[in-house]
Amino acid sequence: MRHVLIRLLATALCCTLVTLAQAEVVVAVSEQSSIKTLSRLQLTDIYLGRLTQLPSGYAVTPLDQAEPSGSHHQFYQHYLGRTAAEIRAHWSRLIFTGRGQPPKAVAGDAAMADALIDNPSAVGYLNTEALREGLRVIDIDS
Amino acid sequence: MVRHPTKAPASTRPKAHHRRIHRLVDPPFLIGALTLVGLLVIWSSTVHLTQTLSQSVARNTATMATDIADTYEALVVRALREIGHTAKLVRYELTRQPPQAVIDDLSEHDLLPPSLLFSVAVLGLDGKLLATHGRHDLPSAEENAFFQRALYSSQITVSQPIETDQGTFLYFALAATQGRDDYVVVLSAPASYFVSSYDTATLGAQGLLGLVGDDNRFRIRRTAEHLSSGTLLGDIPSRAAAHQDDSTAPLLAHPWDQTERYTVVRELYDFPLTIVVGLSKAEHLASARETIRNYYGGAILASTLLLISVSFLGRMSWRLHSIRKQAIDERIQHARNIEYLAFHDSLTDLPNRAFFNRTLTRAVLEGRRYQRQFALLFLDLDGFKHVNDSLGHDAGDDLLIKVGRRLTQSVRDSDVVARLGGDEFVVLLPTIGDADKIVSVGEKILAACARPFNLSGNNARISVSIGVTLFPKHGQDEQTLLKTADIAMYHAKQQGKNNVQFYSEVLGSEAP
Repeated sequence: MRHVLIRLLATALCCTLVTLAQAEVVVAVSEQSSIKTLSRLQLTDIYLGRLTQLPSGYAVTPLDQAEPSGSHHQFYQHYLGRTAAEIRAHWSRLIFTGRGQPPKAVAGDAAMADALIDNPSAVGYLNTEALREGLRVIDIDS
Repeated sequence: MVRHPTKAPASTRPKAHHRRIHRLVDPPFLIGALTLVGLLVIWSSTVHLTQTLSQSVARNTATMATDIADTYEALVVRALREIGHTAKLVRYELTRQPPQAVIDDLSEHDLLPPSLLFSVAVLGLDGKLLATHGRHDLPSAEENAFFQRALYSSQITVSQPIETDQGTFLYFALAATQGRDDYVVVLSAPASYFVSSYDTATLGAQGLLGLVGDDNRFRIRRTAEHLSSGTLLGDIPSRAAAHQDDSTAPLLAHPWDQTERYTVVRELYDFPLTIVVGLSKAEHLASARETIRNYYGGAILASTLLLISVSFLGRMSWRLHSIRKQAIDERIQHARNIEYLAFHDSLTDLPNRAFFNRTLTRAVLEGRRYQRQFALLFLDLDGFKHVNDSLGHDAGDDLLIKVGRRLTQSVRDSDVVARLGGDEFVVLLPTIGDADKIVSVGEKILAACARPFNLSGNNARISVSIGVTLFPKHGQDEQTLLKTADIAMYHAKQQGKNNVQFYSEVLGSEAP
């Protein structure tokens, strides 16, 4: 009985570690941005086009990475819990029925960093390796 | 007062008619008829309601299909215009800049469609890729018919559905040959994009959205989450065109999934494409089926209630009827008893004076009419007073009862024996003409009464004096007959009793 419990705990720990290891994509803004923290729900709404203004009154513009970049899949899978295909279907429907446009996409992590520094109201995601001065990582509360 | 049973043919018809009406309002008939009418009303209205409901659901569905088609057509046209517009924009820019600069410039100014779904590419006439925005997953575009057609057309052309690792795509091509160099602008969009407005809330799980090319094949077809392309549309466009009414969609069977749908087929004005919208008949009728089931349930309940209340009513009515019938029977029986008592002597049970008077009157009337003669015998007991005095009143009564019985036994059934009161009896012989026969009847009576009577242990002997009168010989009316009979009887008494005497004129003149 105790054996089983230990094994279960070990498995859970391993899973968590693996998840953490995969979560090398972070949400970031410009240092000038007034955004300090976002809830997971807010982040989801921002990236699905349902939220363009934060409760504090600041406008927020999501930035996306083009699909071939690895960060795209990781971000949507990890932070929004949705596959790339689901995201495509979502925007497909919104564009076709004329109710919205998807976030503007940049080519990759480096381009994302440039775009974020240029635009203080923008929110974006990038691999931790691409982080540099002028960017601030946002904590996402679950 | 003789009642003539005359039959008047004129009066029978209204009587029969009246009887028929009477039978119509008879409780069993009335209740049965009302039940039938009630059931008829319940079920015919139920059938009518369900038919109306089904028809209105069908009509609403057909109207809804055209409404959805209107919206869908607008969405598709706008999506295609945007694609066409982008292609023309690129074509225009190509007259001023090289391909890569065009793409970069337009991309920077946000003038190209989102690369998440769409791609924009500039190709040489030989199909060589020169610049691209988004993923252009078509390695040898020049091998496709739409590309070749675009080279000879000023219009935008549409490809067949093309499978890539990202799914099925539709490609659009527009030749750009006005500048220094010749290019072909190629745009792509996921085929599913054109049916992404499929909404299960309106189209259901069996609805249909589709885009058809000029080769009559589906570029893309969607039913709920199921997407497919390439299916032949068959004769559906011509069958839809045969339908006259524009406000409702015709019901057509779709051969690819054996589903009947209210179908709208509409060719787009500017593009070589046709939209198809369908609403499943079975699916939309399913919602009405619940209501229809409720209607039938209600009808069954109402019928049951009706039958229960009718059977209750029937039982009540039957009981009332039998109670009334019993009361009537009792009254009739009572009336019969009263009548019997009125016309019969309570002691001997023989007809009494009142009855006899009637009988005699009738005999006289009939005798006159049919020229018949009859005889009237007037009887008086000899020695009755002696029996009464010596043996008591009870014995006297007993004697009268027994005499009555012997008299009845001595004559035929058609003869009438009656007691007038005291010890006086009369016998009417209605059909006797021969005096000898009357004498023999009289002697039979004398013999019957001469036998001793057993009155509570005592033997008593009496005799009878009989006076006979004949109609019409001795009297033409009742009073005369009774009088002459009485006279004849006195004569018999004078002749020593226990004998029979006929009336004669001589006796009549002697009488006081």
